Amino acid sequence: MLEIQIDHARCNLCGHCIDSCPAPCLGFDEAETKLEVFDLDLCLICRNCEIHCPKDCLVVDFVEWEATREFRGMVRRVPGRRQ
Amino acid sequence: MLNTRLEDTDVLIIGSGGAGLRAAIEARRYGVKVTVVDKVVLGMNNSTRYSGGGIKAALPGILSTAYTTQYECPREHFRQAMIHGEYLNDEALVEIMTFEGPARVLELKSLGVDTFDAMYLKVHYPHGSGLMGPLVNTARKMGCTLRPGMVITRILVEGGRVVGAAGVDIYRGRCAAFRSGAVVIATGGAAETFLRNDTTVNTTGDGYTLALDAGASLRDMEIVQFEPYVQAEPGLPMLDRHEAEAEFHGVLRNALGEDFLVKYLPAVKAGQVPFEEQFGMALTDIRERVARAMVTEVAAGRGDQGAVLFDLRHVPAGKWESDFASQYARKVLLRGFDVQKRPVHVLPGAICTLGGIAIDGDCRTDVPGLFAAGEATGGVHGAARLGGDGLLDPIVFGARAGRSAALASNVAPSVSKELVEEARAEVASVLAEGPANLEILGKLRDQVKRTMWEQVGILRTGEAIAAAIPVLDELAERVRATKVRSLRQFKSRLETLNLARVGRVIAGAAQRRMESRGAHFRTDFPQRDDERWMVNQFVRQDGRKLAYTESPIRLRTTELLKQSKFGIEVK
Repeated sequence: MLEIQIDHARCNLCGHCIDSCPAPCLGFDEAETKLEVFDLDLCLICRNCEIHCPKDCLVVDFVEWEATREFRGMVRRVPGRRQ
Repeated sequence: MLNTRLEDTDVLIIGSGGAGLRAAIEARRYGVKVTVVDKVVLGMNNSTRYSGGGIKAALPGILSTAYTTQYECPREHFRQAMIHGEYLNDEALVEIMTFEGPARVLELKSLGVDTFDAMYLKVHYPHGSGLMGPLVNTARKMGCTLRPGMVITRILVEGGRVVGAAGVDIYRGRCAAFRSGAVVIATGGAAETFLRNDTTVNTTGDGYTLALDAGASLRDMEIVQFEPYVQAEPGLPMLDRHEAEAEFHGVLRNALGEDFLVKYLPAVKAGQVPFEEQFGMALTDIRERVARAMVTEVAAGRGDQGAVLFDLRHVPAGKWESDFASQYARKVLLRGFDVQKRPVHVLPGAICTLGGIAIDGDCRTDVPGLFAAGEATGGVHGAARLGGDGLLDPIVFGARAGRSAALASNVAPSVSKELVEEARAEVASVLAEGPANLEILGKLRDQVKRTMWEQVGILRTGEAIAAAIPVLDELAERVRATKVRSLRQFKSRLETLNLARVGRVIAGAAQRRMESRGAHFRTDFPQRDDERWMVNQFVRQDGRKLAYTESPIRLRTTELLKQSKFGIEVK
């Protein structure tokens, strides 16, 4: 399934992922202490959040998703990340 | 307490979409110091990047493919753009776009964009992504200063001239001010004002409010274009399915299973979906008509879950494999939803605002030193936009704005301390300790979008708009009254305020134009009225009020337009 995995231990709450998302998928909680996935239905799988994360703590996991297996190469590759 | 850091630059460019980066590259060619600021990340979260269409200019034989035919000559392009825009366009601007367009498109190659690959579905999806990456790289290589996370709150005007801009730097947690001789607004449109839209969440019309506050005027703000085939399936992103419609002739059905377009478009044969290439210029406003038909069906109670059905079941399976965009859209963006088994729900959504900051051919606004380019400007597309012009406009006018700004930056602007302090105090006054108001802001934003969509949307009536205006005013006041805890929340607050303010401007202009023209449709005045309404509407901020003025349109090229083979009468 489609999933955005966040490594909260490494996240430094810079917000680059939120800013790079074209949809309101990601956001902080009220106290701005934790990154949350708000609405995965709106995700376009553009992988902007993965690319812009300076701490490398986000993964848009769609690889195991059956419908998209053949599309791994078509969606933008993230430099230095296993596909 | 918040500190302000003052930076010096020659040209400040607000926005890093197609127009902003093109302006930065052009200005940098003149050797001046260029700073590009964006409220979010650079170049990767804007309408150009997520554009699904191609670019069209008079390049026959060079960039023509099976998907997109280019215009034979700039004159033909000009004629089509004017007729399509129903003469609300500024002739001078359309001339510039159509006659300068081909050169600008070919020039993209020298900026690292492989035009053919980028535009014709071969490598990238969405198609604009092939354009933005190289432009960001080129701007960086040329030595432009790039500042992401910088929210500009006001343009600094002193002695009737622009001297810079002030805002907040979210990433560094401080206020920022720029001293510059020229400022280019390239912030894009305000499609996010409507509940249903297929643009990114950042298109909140920030440039419109900046220009209004600086004293510039906006034109034709009532014109908002709606894309008909935007997905309305629960659990799927709101994206348009135009590519499927154009290639495969999908059929729109209501809840009863009828192919209802036949009722609204007599020329259409059952089982076929019309699009521009099929009908040419005979039906200039085909997108608008289809969108109106869909909304009318839903309003009449023949919708299914508040939307209509887009039937692609009859498309042969092999056809889906023919191009990258439809494969990607079908398999990735549909999340396993099988359009070959059941129809997908669609309903129109806002795609762009065609009105905007009034500019002349050199992208100058009413305020000396302030320039604008791209979707933030008005007058290029008139009352309806030709497909393919949406990307041509920022490329052409971005370059023009960059050149004009570079030439106008030869002044030594001095920013008084009071101005900077005033801007800082404005930010500080809404920052407060205590409970956060994010939930309230989210609700207000939703209310603005809902009000605009329901009352100032595709089918407009005088009463509905009149009822919406006080609501929007009140919502703006309620946003002004909220306090926030952090700069990031300050950005949300500013965006919500901008949505309410821009919504108010759109509603006011729509209420005044008592006719239907292009994308603007009033059910109480369904005909085009060339006697009374061959006028452009301008609006400027007058204290707390909006002052609307009209300026009659005098066409220079009437004879040329009359020669059109579809013979639309011009008075």
